[in-house]
Amino acid sequence: MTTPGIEMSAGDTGYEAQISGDWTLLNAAGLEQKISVARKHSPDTTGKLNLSGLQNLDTTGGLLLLRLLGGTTPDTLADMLIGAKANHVLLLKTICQALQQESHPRRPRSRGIDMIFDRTGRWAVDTWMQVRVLLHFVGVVIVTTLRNTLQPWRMRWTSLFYHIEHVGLDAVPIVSLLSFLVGGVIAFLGATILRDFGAQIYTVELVGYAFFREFGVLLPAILLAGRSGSAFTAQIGSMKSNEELDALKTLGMDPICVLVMPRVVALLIMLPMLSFGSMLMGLIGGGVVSALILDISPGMFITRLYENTSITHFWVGICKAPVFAFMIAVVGCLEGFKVSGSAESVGRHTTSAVVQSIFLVLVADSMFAIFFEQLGI
Amino acid sequence: MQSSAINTYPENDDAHVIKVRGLVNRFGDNLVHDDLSLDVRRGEILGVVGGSGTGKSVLLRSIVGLLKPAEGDIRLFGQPLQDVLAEYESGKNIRYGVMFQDGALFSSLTVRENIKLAISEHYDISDELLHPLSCMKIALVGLPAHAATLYPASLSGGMRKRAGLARALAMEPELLFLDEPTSGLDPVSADGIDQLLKTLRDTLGLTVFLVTHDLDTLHAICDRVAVLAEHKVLTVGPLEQVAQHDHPWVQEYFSGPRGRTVLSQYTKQPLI
Repeated sequence: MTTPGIEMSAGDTGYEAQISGDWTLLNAAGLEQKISVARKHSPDTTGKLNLSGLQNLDTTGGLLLLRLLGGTTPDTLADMLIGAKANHVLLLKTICQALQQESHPRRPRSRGIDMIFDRTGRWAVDTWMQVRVLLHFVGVVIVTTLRNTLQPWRMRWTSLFYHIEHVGLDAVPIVSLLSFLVGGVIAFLGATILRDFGAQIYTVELVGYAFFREFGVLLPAILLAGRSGSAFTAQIGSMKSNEELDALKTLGMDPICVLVMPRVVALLIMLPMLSFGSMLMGLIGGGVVSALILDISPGMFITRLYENTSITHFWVGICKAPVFAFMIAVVGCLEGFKVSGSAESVGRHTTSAVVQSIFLVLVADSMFAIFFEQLGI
Repeated sequence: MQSSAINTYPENDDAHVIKVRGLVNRFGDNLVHDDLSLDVRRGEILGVVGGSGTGKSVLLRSIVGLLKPAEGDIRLFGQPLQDVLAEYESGKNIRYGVMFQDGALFSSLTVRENIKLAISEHYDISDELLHPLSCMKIALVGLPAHAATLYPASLSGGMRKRAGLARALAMEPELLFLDEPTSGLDPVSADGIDQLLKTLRDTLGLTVFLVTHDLDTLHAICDRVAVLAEHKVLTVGPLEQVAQHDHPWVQEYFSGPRGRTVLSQYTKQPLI
């Protein structure tokens, strides 16, 4: 390996540059500087290259030589080279030809205040488009669901039961455990605060109200958003990036009907059931803590719950479950359809599906809370 | 032209860029290679053909060190493969480039960034030079200039292959591994890739290890052809010599309708 060099000398028709050594990627960093120095010291703007001392040349070196030479075309190139080997000429010609194609200008980047407006504008338009897409998708899903209820034989039963198992049954242990723990924690909270008033017995109502009205639905909904919503996006998204959705369409099957319907229906069935289970487990958790800490016996817990907690609270809670289920399923599936191309896009949309569905569930829950408050239920 | 590059280099040991001896590869009970040996000479374009599942890609992956063979000795540039790989880990002296079947482009980077990535990682080159350098590579492989700013997801299959080739060429390798460079390309693009490989070989003295099914490529640019069958290299040699081999697969491959067309052109054309 030899160090590359340039020696400039004045000839009759512009400069003549003696090129020596290896002009390769390895030496490129140093050569860049040498070229700018050489060009600065040479009065002539045009000239010739003497390549007789050139040893190894690769495409990077070739590009640098052409830069030294300034503007040339493949046709005039040969006249500007002295003592060049045939393969070097051929390489330089190839590079020269490649450079002849219009070079792509760098995209100007907006800066400062422009950028703020630019990005805000894009974000606003983008968000508006997202909302429209979501509403459109909700509409399509509702229409398809209604049409299918009239023709139950078109339902994909195998697929439906598969999803019921994966979305519902498989989630039972984790939902139960979580609800049990949260129930216990709420009973603890009640015990700590209510003891000061000598009103420990109201812990029963606290746990009951909390689980019937809110936690019994929220906990499984948030869990399913993370567990099943993301799975829906990943499943449909990877099918999308693999062109499987297009394949379905060409085979005369509607992706909404084949893929979305079973998932939506499975969640619609299973989230209320899981909510019911969650309420039970929450009450058990609360009961266990009450029995251990507060000396409220299980019998007393049940009697008190039975006498003082109206069944309305249960209905208030459970009626929210299908709404949340629909939101989670629709957002999960829609994000899957939005996937484009790469696997990276699948990951991005999966994250987005979880964030969106949890956000929507919580917003809807607060609206329900206000609604029931106004109704006085 | 078929053998010009071979003739310019003497037949000594130094002239062998790749030397594989007694290679054994197996996945569970499935024996892929059994005592396979292969030499690739400096400056030649070697085409590797074989039926599906004969381990063409496995051979390529073993040689570039992506797959640890069960047994066997692999030497690159006269050095044991482990030494070459150790140099790789330190990031210097990257001497071979690999183009994967579907490009294997980094999906979160644009085509230009894909090409620049390794160069800016290993060399201290200013953006002033890196930009035209990447433009040149993009043009060299026949991609339109606007492709530079596109992400792999928005490229067509053929463009992805070209971009993969550009990235393989980024580090100015002496040895190029190509996995089916022309499959799925239209004949014109495939010819373009063939011509490019030939030019690069003639100008840079590149050695090319080419896994292909494309009989036209074999005919147009390969100096030698290696046929993989029955767990080893069945035969190596110039195309017309390999085509004479009496193994049933070889016969079927070269005397099928496609093979006949190419070979008939081949015999009509004088050897340049």
